[in-house]
Amino acid sequence: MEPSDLSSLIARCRAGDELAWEAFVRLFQRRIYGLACTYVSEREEAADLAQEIFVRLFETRARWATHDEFLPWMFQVARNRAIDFVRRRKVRRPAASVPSDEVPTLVDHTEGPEVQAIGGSRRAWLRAALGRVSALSREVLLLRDVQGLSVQETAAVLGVPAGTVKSRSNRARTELAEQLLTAGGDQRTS
Amino acid sequence: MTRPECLAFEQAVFGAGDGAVLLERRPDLAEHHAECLSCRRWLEAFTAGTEAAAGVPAFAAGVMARTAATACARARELSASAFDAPLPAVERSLVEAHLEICAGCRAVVAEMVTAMAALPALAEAEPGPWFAARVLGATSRRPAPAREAWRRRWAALVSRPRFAIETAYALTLCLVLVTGNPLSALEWTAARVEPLVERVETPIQAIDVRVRAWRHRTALGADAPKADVPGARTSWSRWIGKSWGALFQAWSGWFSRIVAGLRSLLAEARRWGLELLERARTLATEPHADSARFL
Repeated sequence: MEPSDLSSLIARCRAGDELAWEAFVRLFQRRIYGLACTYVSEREEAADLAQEIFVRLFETRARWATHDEFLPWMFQVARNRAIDFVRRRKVRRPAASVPSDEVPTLVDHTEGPEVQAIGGSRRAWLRAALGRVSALSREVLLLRDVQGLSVQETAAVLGVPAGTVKSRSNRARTELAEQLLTAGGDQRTS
Repeated sequence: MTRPECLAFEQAVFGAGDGAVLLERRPDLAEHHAECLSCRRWLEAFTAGTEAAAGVPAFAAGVMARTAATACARARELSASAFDAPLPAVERSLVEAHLEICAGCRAVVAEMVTAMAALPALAEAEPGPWFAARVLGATSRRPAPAREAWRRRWAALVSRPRFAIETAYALTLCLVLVTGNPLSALEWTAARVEPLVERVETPIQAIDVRVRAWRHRTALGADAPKADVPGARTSWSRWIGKSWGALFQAWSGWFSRIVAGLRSLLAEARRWGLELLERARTLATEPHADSARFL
Protein backbone atom coordinates (compact mmCIF):
# COMPACT_ATOMS: atom_id res chain seq x y z
CA MET A 1 0.00 0.00 0.00
CA GLU A 2 1.23 3.47 -0.87
CA PRO A 3 2.04 5.83 2.03
CA SER A 4 -0.64 8.26 0.91
CA ASP A 5 -3.21 5.42 0.87
CA LEU A 6 -2.17 4.40 4.36
CA SER A 7 -2.46 8.02 5.53
CA SER A 8 -5.99 8.32 4.18
CA LEU A 9 -6.89 4.92 5.64
CA ILE A 10 -5.66 6.02 9.06
CA ALA A 11 -7.53 9.32 8.77
CA ARG A 12 -10.77 7.52 7.85
CA CYS A 13 -10.35 5.07 10.72
CA ARG A 14 -9.84 7.97 13.11
CA ALA A 15 -13.03 9.52 11.80
CA GLY A 16 -14.93 6.30 12.60
CA ASP A 17 -15.39 4.89 9.08
CA GLU A 18 -16.35 1.21 9.49
CA LEU A 19 -15.26 0.27 5.98
CA ALA A 20 -11.83 1.80 6.54
CA TRP A 21 -11.54 -0.15 9.81
CA GLU A 22 -12.36 -3.39 7.97
CA ALA A 23 -9.69 -2.62 5.38
CA PHE A 24 -7.24 -1.81 8.15
CA VAL A 25 -7.88 -5.16 9.86
CA ARG A 26 -7.42 -7.03 6.60
CA LEU A 27 -4.24 -5.06 5.86
CA PHE A 28 -2.52 -5.58 9.21
CA GLN A 29 -3.91 -8.93 10.36
CA ARG A 30 -0.91 -10.94 9.18
CA ARG A 31 1.54 -8.53 10.71
CA ILE A 32 -0.22 -8.30 14.08
CA TYR A 33 -0.72 -12.06 14.17
CA GLY A 34 2.97 -12.55 13.32
CA LEU A 35 3.89 -10.25 16.17
CA ALA A 36 1.58 -12.13 18.55
CA CYS A 37 3.21 -15.41 17.51
CA THR A 38 6.56 -14.12 18.77
CA TYR A 39 5.15 -13.53 22.25
CA VAL A 40 3.07 -16.71 22.68
CA SER A 41 3.74 -20.05 21.08
CA GLU A 42 0.26 -21.55 20.85
CA ARG A 43 -1.89 -20.69 17.85
CA GLU A 44 -5.12 -20.12 19.75
CA GLU A 45 -3.42 -17.88 22.28
CA ALA A 46 -1.69 -15.95 19.52
CA ALA A 47 -5.07 -15.40 17.83
CA ASP A 48 -6.59 -14.24 21.14
CA LEU A 49 -3.69 -11.86 21.69
CA ALA A 50 -3.91 -10.51 18.14
CA GLN A 51 -7.64 -9.95 18.59
CA GLU A 52 -7.02 -8.11 21.87
CA ILE A 53 -4.51 -5.88 20.12
CA PHE A 54 -7.03 -5.05 17.39
CA VAL A 55 -9.76 -4.38 19.95
CA ARG A 56 -7.42 -2.04 21.79
CA LEU A 57 -6.57 -0.27 18.55
CA PHE A 58 -10.27 0.02 17.79
CA GLU A 59 -11.03 1.49 21.22
CA THR A 60 -8.29 4.10 20.86
CA ARG A 61 -8.77 4.87 17.17
CA ALA A 62 -9.71 8.47 17.87
CA ARG A 63 -6.22 8.99 19.33
CA TRP A 64 -4.21 7.23 16.61
CA ALA A 65 -0.87 8.76 15.68
CA THR A 66 -0.37 10.28 12.27
CA HIS A 67 1.07 8.31 9.39
CA ASP A 68 4.78 8.92 10.08
CA GLU A 69 4.51 7.86 13.69
CA PHE A 70 1.76 5.30 13.26
CA LEU A 71 3.78 2.09 12.96
CA PRO A 72 5.95 2.70 16.07
CA TRP A 73 2.83 3.74 17.96
CA MET A 74 0.94 0.63 16.86
CA PHE A 75 3.84 -1.62 17.86
CA GLN A 76 4.00 0.10 21.23
CA VAL A 77 0.30 -0.61 21.81
CA ALA A 78 0.77 -4.19 20.64
CA ARG A 79 3.82 -4.69 22.85
CA ASN A 80 2.04 -3.36 25.95
CA ARG A 81 -0.93 -5.57 25.23
CA ALA A 82 1.32 -8.60 24.69
CA ILE A 83 3.18 -8.00 27.95
CA ASP A 84 -0.15 -7.76 29.82
CA PHE A 85 -1.38 -10.91 28.09
CA VAL A 86 1.74 -12.91 28.98
CA ARG A 87 1.58 -11.72 32.61
CA ARG A 88 -2.08 -12.68 32.87
CA ARG A 89 -1.37 -16.06 31.35
CA LYS A 90 1.39 -16.69 33.90
CA VAL A 91 -0.99 -15.96 36.77
CA ARG A 92 -3.96 -17.90 35.45
CA ARG A 93 -2.95 -20.83 33.30
CA PRO A 94 -5.72 -22.24 31.13
CA ALA A 95 -7.39 -25.36 32.52
CA ALA A 96 -6.55 -27.41 29.45
CA SER A 97 -4.01 -26.36 26.90
CA VAL A 98 -2.55 -28.31 24.07
CA PRO A 99 1.10 -27.35 23.64
CA SER A 100 2.27 -27.09 20.10
CA ASP A 101 5.92 -27.39 19.21
CA GLU A 102 5.27 -26.42 15.65
CA VAL A 103 4.64 -22.73 16.14
CA PRO A 104 1.91 -21.65 13.82
CA THR A 105 1.69 -23.35 10.52
CA LEU A 106 2.81 -20.68 8.13
CA VAL A 107 0.92 -21.08 4.91
CA ASP A 108 2.39 -19.55 1.80
CA HIS A 109 0.28 -20.19 -1.27
CA THR A 110 3.01 -19.28 -3.72
CA GLU A 111 5.23 -22.20 -2.76
CA GLY A 112 4.80 -25.91 -3.20
CA PRO A 113 4.30 -28.20 -0.19
CA GLU A 114 7.92 -29.33 -0.08
CA VAL A 115 9.37 -25.82 -0.12
CA GLN A 116 6.67 -24.79 2.31
CA ALA A 117 7.62 -27.56 4.76
CA ILE A 118 11.31 -26.62 4.61
CA GLY A 119 10.52 -22.93 5.06
CA GLY A 120 8.12 -23.67 7.92
CA SER A 121 10.63 -25.78 9.82
CA ARG A 122 13.34 -23.17 9.29
CA ARG A 123 11.05 -20.48 10.66
CA ALA A 124 10.10 -22.68 13.60
CA TRP A 125 13.81 -23.26 14.27
CA LEU A 126 14.43 -19.51 14.15
CA ARG A 127 11.46 -18.85 16.44
CA ALA A 128 12.79 -21.42 18.89
CA ALA A 129 16.19 -19.70 18.90
CA LEU A 130 14.45 -16.35 19.41
CA GLY A 131 12.67 -17.86 22.40
CA ARG A 132 16.01 -18.75 23.98
CA VAL A 133 17.66 -15.32 23.80
CA SER A 134 17.18 -12.86 26.65
CA ALA A 135 14.00 -10.78 26.79
CA LEU A 136 15.84 -7.51 26.07
CA SER A 137 17.57 -8.97 23.03
CA ARG A 138 14.34 -10.55 21.77
CA GLU A 139 12.46 -7.26 21.85
CA VAL A 140 15.15 -5.43 19.93
CA LEU A 141 15.38 -8.23 17.37
CA LEU A 142 11.60 -8.26 16.92
CA LEU A 143 11.35 -4.56 16.35
CA ARG A 144 14.56 -3.93 14.39
CA ASP A 145 15.16 -7.06 12.36
CA VAL A 146 11.75 -8.74 12.20
CA GLN A 147 9.40 -5.75 11.90
CA GLY A 148 12.02 -3.57 10.22
CA LEU A 149 11.67 -0.45 12.36
CA SER A 150 14.48 2.11 12.24
CA VAL A 151 16.77 2.80 15.20
CA GLN A 152 14.80 5.96 16.12
CA GLU A 153 11.44 4.19 15.85
CA THR A 154 12.67 1.30 17.98
CA ALA A 155 14.01 3.78 20.52
CA ALA A 156 10.59 5.47 20.63
CA VAL A 157 8.79 2.16 21.16
CA LEU A 158 11.16 0.96 23.89
CA GLY A 159 11.60 4.39 25.48
CA VAL A 160 15.42 4.25 25.43
CA PRO A 161 18.08 6.38 23.64
CA ALA A 162 19.06 5.51 20.07
CA GLY A 163 22.60 4.61 21.16
CA THR A 164 21.21 2.03 23.56
CA VAL A 165 19.15 0.51 20.76
CA LYS A 166 22.26 0.20 18.57
CA SER A 167 24.35 -1.50 21.24
CA ARG A 168 21.47 -3.77 22.28
CA SER A 169 20.85 -4.64 18.66
CA ASN A 170 24.48 -5.67 18.11
CA ARG A 171 24.47 -7.78 21.27
CA ALA A 172 21.13 -9.33 20.34
CA ARG A 173 22.28 -10.37 16.86
CA THR A 174 25.41 -11.94 18.28
CA GLU A 175 23.37 -13.73 20.96
CA LEU A 176 20.93 -15.08 18.39
CA ALA A 177 23.75 -16.30 16.15
CA GLU A 178 25.39 -18.04 19.09
CA GLN A 179 22.07 -19.66 20.02
CA LEU A 180 21.60 -20.88 16.45
CA LEU A 181 25.13 -22.22 16.45
CA THR A 182 24.56 -24.04 19.73
CA ALA A 183 21.25 -25.43 18.52
CA GLY A 184 22.88 -26.59 15.27
CA GLY A 185 25.68 -28.25 17.22
CA ASP A 186 23.17 -30.00 19.49
CA GLN A 187 21.17 -31.13 16.49
CA ARG A 188 24.27 -32.52 14.81
CA THR A 189 25.28 -34.26 18.04
CA SER A 190 21.84 -35.81 18.54
CA MET B 1 49.62 -14.59 33.23
CA THR B 2 51.51 -17.45 31.61
CA ARG B 3 53.08 -19.93 34.00
CA PRO B 4 56.67 -21.29 33.47
CA GLU B 5 55.24 -24.75 32.74
CA CYS B 6 53.07 -23.29 30.00
CA LEU B 7 56.05 -21.43 28.49
CA ALA B 8 58.09 -24.64 28.53
CA PHE B 9 55.18 -26.42 26.87
CA GLU B 10 54.95 -23.79 24.10
CA GLN B 11 58.73 -23.85 23.49
CA ALA B 12 58.72 -27.63 23.27
CA VAL B 13 55.83 -27.61 20.76
CA PHE B 14 57.54 -24.92 18.68
CA GLY B 15 60.73 -26.95 18.73
CA ALA B 16 59.02 -30.18 17.71
CA GLY B 17 56.64 -28.57 15.19
CA ASP B 18 54.00 -31.25 15.80
CA GLY B 19 52.09 -31.25 19.07
CA ALA B 20 50.60 -34.73 18.75
CA VAL B 21 53.97 -36.43 18.22
CA LEU B 22 55.51 -34.43 21.05
CA LEU B 23 52.79 -35.47 23.50
CA GLU B 24 53.40 -39.12 22.66
CA ARG B 25 57.13 -38.81 23.32
CA ARG B 26 57.02 -36.59 26.44
CA PRO B 27 54.75 -37.94 29.22
CA ASP B 28 55.49 -34.87 31.42
CA LEU B 29 54.19 -32.54 28.71
CA ALA B 30 51.23 -34.83 28.10
CA GLU B 31 50.40 -34.61 31.80
CA HIS B 32 50.59 -30.80 31.73
CA HIS B 33 48.45 -30.78 28.59
CA ALA B 34 45.82 -32.85 30.34
CA GLU B 35 45.76 -30.52 33.35
CA CYS B 36 46.02 -27.08 31.70
CA LEU B 37 42.96 -25.87 29.78
CA SER B 38 44.82 -22.84 28.45
CA CYS B 39 47.55 -25.00 26.91
CA ARG B 40 44.99 -27.38 25.42
CA ARG B 41 43.30 -24.44 23.68
CA TRP B 42 46.63 -23.04 22.61
CA LEU B 43 47.70 -26.35 21.09
CA GLU B 44 44.37 -26.65 19.23
CA ALA B 45 44.82 -23.16 17.83
CA PHE B 46 48.46 -23.84 17.00
CA THR B 47 47.57 -27.01 15.15
CA ALA B 48 44.66 -25.36 13.31
CA GLY B 49 46.87 -22.42 12.40
CA THR B 50 49.56 -24.66 11.03
CA GLU B 51 47.16 -26.73 9.01
CA ALA B 52 44.58 -24.23 7.78
CA ALA B 53 45.78 -20.66 7.89
CA ALA B 54 48.18 -20.45 5.03
CA GLY B 55 50.24 -17.30 5.35
CA VAL B 56 49.15 -16.67 8.94
CA PRO B 57 51.94 -17.49 11.36
CA ALA B 58 51.11 -20.26 13.81
CA PHE B 59 52.59 -18.08 16.51
CA ALA B 60 49.86 -15.44 15.93
CA ALA B 61 47.19 -18.11 16.16
CA GLY B 62 48.65 -19.27 19.47
CA VAL B 63 48.82 -15.74 20.88
CA MET B 64 45.25 -15.07 19.78
CA ALA B 65 44.08 -18.28 21.42
CA ARG B 66 45.48 -17.03 24.73
CA THR B 67 44.34 -13.40 24.49
CA ALA B 68 41.47 -13.24 22.01
CA ALA B 69 38.46 -13.17 24.32
CA THR B 70 37.94 -9.42 23.96
CA ALA B 71 38.97 -9.43 20.31
CA CYS B 72 36.28 -12.02 19.54
CA ALA B 73 33.62 -9.98 21.31
CA ARG B 74 34.67 -6.84 19.46
CA ALA B 75 34.80 -8.61 16.11
CA ARG B 76 31.30 -10.05 16.64
CA GLU B 77 29.92 -6.67 17.70
CA LEU B 78 31.39 -4.97 14.63
CA SER B 79 30.10 -7.74 12.39
CA ALA B 80 26.62 -7.27 13.88
CA SER B 81 26.74 -3.51 13.37
CA ALA B 82 27.71 -4.04 9.71
CA PHE B 83 24.08 -5.01 9.02
CA ASP B 84 23.02 -1.43 9.81
CA ALA B 85 25.77 0.47 8.00
CA PRO B 86 28.98 -0.49 6.17
CA LEU B 87 32.05 -0.58 8.39
CA PRO B 88 34.89 1.92 7.87
CA ALA B 89 37.78 0.48 5.86
CA VAL B 90 40.15 0.07 8.81
CA GLU B 91 37.63 -1.71 11.00
CA ARG B 92 36.53 -3.88 8.11
CA SER B 93 40.09 -5.03 7.45
CA LEU B 94 40.65 -5.69 11.16
CA VAL B 95 37.50 -7.81 11.37
CA GLU B 96 38.42 -9.72 8.20
CA ALA B 97 41.89 -10.38 9.58
CA HIS B 98 40.38 -11.68 12.79
CA LEU B 99 37.90 -13.88 10.98
CA GLU B 100 40.74 -15.47 9.03
CA ILE B 101 42.28 -16.93 12.15
CA CYS B 102 39.22 -17.40 14.39
CA ALA B 103 37.00 -20.32 13.42
CA GLY B 104 34.50 -19.58 16.23
CA CYS B 105 33.84 -16.04 15.03
CA ARG B 106 33.59 -17.24 11.43
CA ALA B 107 30.84 -19.65 12.44
CA VAL B 108 28.99 -17.02 14.48
CA VAL B 109 29.12 -14.48 11.66
CA ALA B 110 27.89 -17.08 9.16
CA GLU B 111 24.92 -17.87 11.42
CA MET B 112 24.29 -14.15 11.81
CA VAL B 113 24.11 -13.68 8.04
CA THR B 114 21.66 -16.57 7.72
CA ALA B 115 19.51 -15.32 10.57
CA MET B 116 19.39 -11.74 9.33
CA ALA B 117 18.22 -12.96 5.95
CA ALA B 118 15.52 -15.15 7.49
CA LEU B 119 14.21 -12.88 10.27
CA PRO B 120 12.01 -10.59 8.12
CA ALA B 121 9.99 -13.66 7.11
CA LEU B 122 8.75 -13.90 10.72
CA ALA B 123 7.10 -10.48 10.51
CA GLU B 124 3.91 -11.87 9.09
CA ALA B 125 1.98 -15.08 9.66
CA GLU B 126 -1.29 -16.29 8.24
CA PRO B 127 -3.92 -16.30 10.99
CA GLY B 128 -6.54 -18.13 8.93
CA PRO B 129 -9.55 -16.98 6.96
CA TRP B 130 -11.78 -16.66 10.04
CA PHE B 131 -9.54 -14.21 11.88
CA ALA B 132 -10.60 -10.94 10.21
CA ALA B 133 -14.27 -11.85 10.63
CA ARG B 134 -13.66 -12.63 14.28
CA VAL B 135 -11.93 -9.28 14.92
CA LEU B 136 -14.61 -7.38 13.02
CA GLY B 137 -17.28 -9.20 15.01
CA ALA B 138 -15.58 -8.25 18.28
CA THR B 139 -15.22 -4.60 17.29
CA SER B 140 -18.54 -4.00 15.56
CA ARG B 141 -20.74 -4.55 18.61
CA ARG B 142 -22.91 -1.69 19.73
CA PRO B 143 -21.51 0.45 22.55
CA ALA B 144 -22.06 -1.26 25.89
CA PRO B 145 -24.42 0.36 28.42
CA ALA B 146 -22.92 2.07 31.43
CA ARG B 147 -23.52 -0.85 33.82
CA GLU B 148 -21.90 -3.30 31.41
CA ALA B 149 -18.91 -0.99 30.95
CA TRP B 150 -18.58 -0.66 34.73
CA ARG B 151 -18.74 -4.47 35.13
CA ARG B 152 -16.10 -4.93 32.44
CA ARG B 153 -13.83 -2.35 34.06
CA TRP B 154 -14.22 -4.06 37.43
CA ALA B 155 -13.48 -7.47 35.88
CA ALA B 156 -10.33 -6.05 34.31
CA LEU B 157 -9.28 -4.62 37.68
CA VAL B 158 -9.84 -7.92 39.46
CA SER B 159 -8.09 -9.99 36.83
CA ARG B 160 -4.83 -8.04 37.20
CA PRO B 161 -1.93 -10.18 38.52
CA ARG B 162 -1.23 -7.79 41.41
CA PHE B 163 -4.83 -7.80 42.63
CA ALA B 164 -4.31 -10.70 45.09
CA ILE B 165 -1.32 -9.01 46.73
CA GLU B 166 -3.08 -5.67 47.00
CA THR B 167 -6.19 -7.26 48.50
CA ALA B 168 -4.14 -9.19 51.04
CA TYR B 169 -2.33 -6.00 52.01
CA ALA B 170 -5.56 -4.02 52.44
CA LEU B 171 -7.25 -6.79 54.43
CA THR B 172 -4.25 -7.14 56.74
CA LEU B 173 -4.28 -3.40 57.36
CA CYS B 174 -8.01 -3.45 58.16
CA LEU B 175 -7.57 -6.44 60.45
CA VAL B 176 -4.77 -4.74 62.37
CA LEU B 177 -6.77 -1.51 62.70
CA VAL B 178 -9.87 -3.36 63.92
CA THR B 179 -8.42 -6.02 66.21
CA GLY B 180 -5.56 -4.04 67.74
CA ASN B 181 -1.93 -4.72 68.49
CA PRO B 182 -0.49 -7.71 66.63
CA LEU B 183 2.58 -7.67 68.89
CA SER B 184 0.74 -8.87 71.98
CA ALA B 185 3.31 -11.65 72.32
CA LEU B 186 5.77 -9.00 73.46
CA GLU B 187 3.28 -7.85 76.08
CA TRP B 188 2.88 -11.45 77.31
CA THR B 189 6.66 -11.83 77.52
CA ALA B 190 6.86 -8.60 79.47
CA ALA B 191 4.24 -9.74 81.98
CA ARG B 192 6.06 -13.04 82.47
CA VAL B 193 9.55 -11.65 82.80
CA GLU B 194 8.78 -8.47 84.74
CA PRO B 195 8.67 -10.07 88.24
CA LEU B 196 12.05 -11.75 87.63
CA VAL B 197 13.85 -8.56 86.75
CA GLU B 198 15.42 -6.17 89.19
CA ARG B 199 13.88 -2.69 88.81
CA VAL B 200 16.56 -0.40 87.41
CA GLU B 201 15.78 2.95 85.81
CA THR B 202 16.90 2.70 82.17
CA PRO B 203 16.95 5.50 79.57
CA ILE B 204 13.88 3.94 77.91
CA GLN B 205 12.01 3.96 81.22
CA ALA B 206 12.97 7.59 81.75
CA ILE B 207 11.53 8.45 78.31
CA ASP B 208 8.38 6.47 79.10
CA VAL B 209 7.90 8.38 82.34
CA ARG B 210 8.29 11.67 80.48
CA VAL B 211 5.79 10.59 77.80
CA ARG B 212 3.23 9.64 80.45
CA ALA B 213 3.70 12.97 82.22
CA TRP B 214 3.25 14.84 78.97
CA ARG B 215 0.07 12.90 78.14
CA HIS B 216 -1.39 13.82 81.50
CA ARG B 217 -0.57 17.45 80.93
CA THR B 218 -2.29 17.61 77.51
CA ALA B 219 -6.01 17.59 76.91
CA LEU B 220 -5.71 14.35 74.91
CA GLY B 221 -4.69 12.26 77.92
CA ALA B 222 -7.13 9.63 79.09
CA ASP B 223 -7.56 10.93 82.64
CA ALA B 224 -7.12 14.66 82.02
CA PRO B 225 -10.25 16.84 82.31
CA LYS B 226 -11.56 18.04 78.97
CA ALA B 227 -12.47 21.68 78.35
CA ASP B 228 -16.10 21.82 77.26
CA VAL B 229 -17.28 25.30 76.41
CA PRO B 230 -20.82 25.26 74.90
CA GLY B 231 -20.96 27.09 71.58
CA ALA B 232 -17.20 27.43 71.30
CA ARG B 233 -16.83 24.40 68.98
CA THR B 234 -19.25 22.77 66.61
CA SER B 235 -20.33 19.17 67.10
CA TRP B 236 -18.38 18.16 64.00
CA SER B 237 -15.12 19.59 65.28
CA ARG B 238 -15.77 17.99 68.69
CA TRP B 239 -16.29 14.64 66.94
CA ILE B 240 -13.04 15.12 65.00
CA GLY B 241 -11.26 15.98 68.25
CA LYS B 242 -12.64 12.92 70.02
CA SER B 243 -11.76 10.61 67.11
CA TRP B 244 -8.28 12.01 66.92
CA GLY B 245 -7.91 11.58 70.66
CA ALA B 246 -9.07 7.97 70.50
CA LEU B 247 -6.71 7.24 67.61
CA PHE B 248 -3.85 8.87 69.42
CA GLN B 249 -4.61 6.87 72.54
CA ALA B 250 -4.66 3.63 70.56
CA TRP B 251 -1.35 4.42 68.90
CA SER B 252 0.29 5.58 72.11
CA GLY B 253 -0.97 2.38 73.76
CA TRP B 254 0.66 0.35 71.01
CA PHE B 255 3.85 2.29 71.35
CA SER B 256 3.90 1.77 75.14
CA ARG B 257 3.33 -1.95 74.74
CA ILE B 258 6.10 -2.24 72.14
CA VAL B 259 8.44 -0.27 74.40
CA ALA B 260 7.52 -2.53 77.32
CA GLY B 261 8.19 -5.63 75.22
CA LEU B 262 11.57 -4.34 74.08
CA ARG B 263 12.39 -3.33 77.63
CA SER B 264 11.62 -6.81 78.92
CA LEU B 265 13.74 -8.38 76.20
CA LEU B 266 16.64 -6.10 77.11
CA ALA B 267 16.19 -6.95 80.79
CA GLU B 268 16.17 -10.64 80.03
CA ALA B 269 19.31 -10.31 77.93
CA ARG B 270 20.92 -8.42 80.78
CA ARG B 271 19.94 -11.14 83.23
CA TRP B 272 21.46 -13.82 80.97
CA GLY B 273 24.63 -11.80 80.67
CA LEU B 274 24.86 -11.45 84.45
CA GLU B 275 24.29 -15.17 84.90
CA LEU B 276 27.05 -15.95 82.43
CA LEU B 277 29.42 -13.56 84.21
CA GLU B 278 28.58 -15.15 87.54
CA ARG B 279 29.20 -18.59 86.12
CA ALA B 280 32.55 -17.53 84.68
CA ARG B 281 33.53 -15.97 88.00
CA THR B 282 32.67 -19.19 89.83
CA LEU B 283 34.77 -21.24 87.43
CA ALA B 284 37.71 -18.84 87.83
CA THR B 285 37.65 -18.95 91.63
CA GLU B 286 37.18 -22.73 91.89
CA PRO B 287 39.25 -24.31 89.09
CA HIS B 288 40.13 -27.49 91.00
CA ALA B 289 36.58 -28.43 91.78
CA ASP B 290 35.67 -28.45 88.10
CA SER B 291 38.84 -30.17 86.92
CA ALA B 292 38.42 -32.83 89.57
CA ARG B 293 35.18 -33.85 87.94
CA PHE B 294 37.02 -34.78 84.73
CA LEU B 295 39.77 -36.74 86.48
